[in-house]
Amino acid sequence: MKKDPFESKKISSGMNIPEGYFAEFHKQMVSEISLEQNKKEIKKNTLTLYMRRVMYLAAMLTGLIFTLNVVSDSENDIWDIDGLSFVSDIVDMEQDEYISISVSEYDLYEYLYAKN
Amino acid sequence: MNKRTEQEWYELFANEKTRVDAFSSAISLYQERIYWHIRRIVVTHDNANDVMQNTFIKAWRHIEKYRGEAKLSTWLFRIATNESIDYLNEMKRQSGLFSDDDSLFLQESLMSDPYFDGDELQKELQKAILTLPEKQRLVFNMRYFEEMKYDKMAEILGQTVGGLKASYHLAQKKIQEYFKGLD
Repeated sequence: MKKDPFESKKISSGMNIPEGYFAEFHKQMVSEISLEQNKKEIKKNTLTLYMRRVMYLAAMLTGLIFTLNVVSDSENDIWDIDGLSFVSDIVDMEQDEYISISVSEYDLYEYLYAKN
Repeated sequence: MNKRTEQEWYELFANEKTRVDAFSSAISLYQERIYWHIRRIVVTHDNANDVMQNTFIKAWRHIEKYRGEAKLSTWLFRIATNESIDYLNEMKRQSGLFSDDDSLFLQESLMSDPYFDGDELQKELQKAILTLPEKQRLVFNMRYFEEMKYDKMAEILGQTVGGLKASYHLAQKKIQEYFKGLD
């Protein structure tokens, strides 16, 4: 056995590889990275499509809310003519009815008689 | 192809249309050197093949991080070195080995590798290399077999040239002592 491995010619490693290994490795890697690149592009397109849908939906909702606001404002205009509220009119009508029901004809005559 | 500057590589990788072809060229250009670098660390062909795949996939997935500031080969060598060390550590962890046992474990792996057919001298040299601490082993392989310049090694390993020279010198001395001990 040689005493000093550094005193003469360099010793090679003795390691080797299967035949055609690098060509095969290159082919395999290129197919793998192409696949990853395609996946990335599909993902990107899907995300764009998703974002586009979300934006359409948001625009539709904004439009709908705006339309409803306009209609609701117009409705207030119809029912609130000359400052009279539709709700307060109903309440007044109910009060009139209540009075007419709770005061009988007899009570009325008695009241008028007592007044005279 | 090998005349491309780092800026050219960067521009080709930055453009989605040229990225795959450029990376394919980079694999062709560097795969052999990267393979032997990895193989000397992880010892067997099967391990080297796994680490090669991890290395190029990792490089591909982080291609946006390549800014053309370092040489492409340096960047790839750095990834390959880290991947090889991580792979060895994972192997040791799975086998429940401590740092003292790993030289024997690696020697056994090498001797049983069908893609190692070294003669007596080559076997002994490999055994001697595998007795070295990890850092010295790395430096010795890069200098002795790959004939890499110290400043390139310093860029890859993030160490000073002086420190690397000292590591190589120590490694060489230990290997000489190992051979003396064989008689």
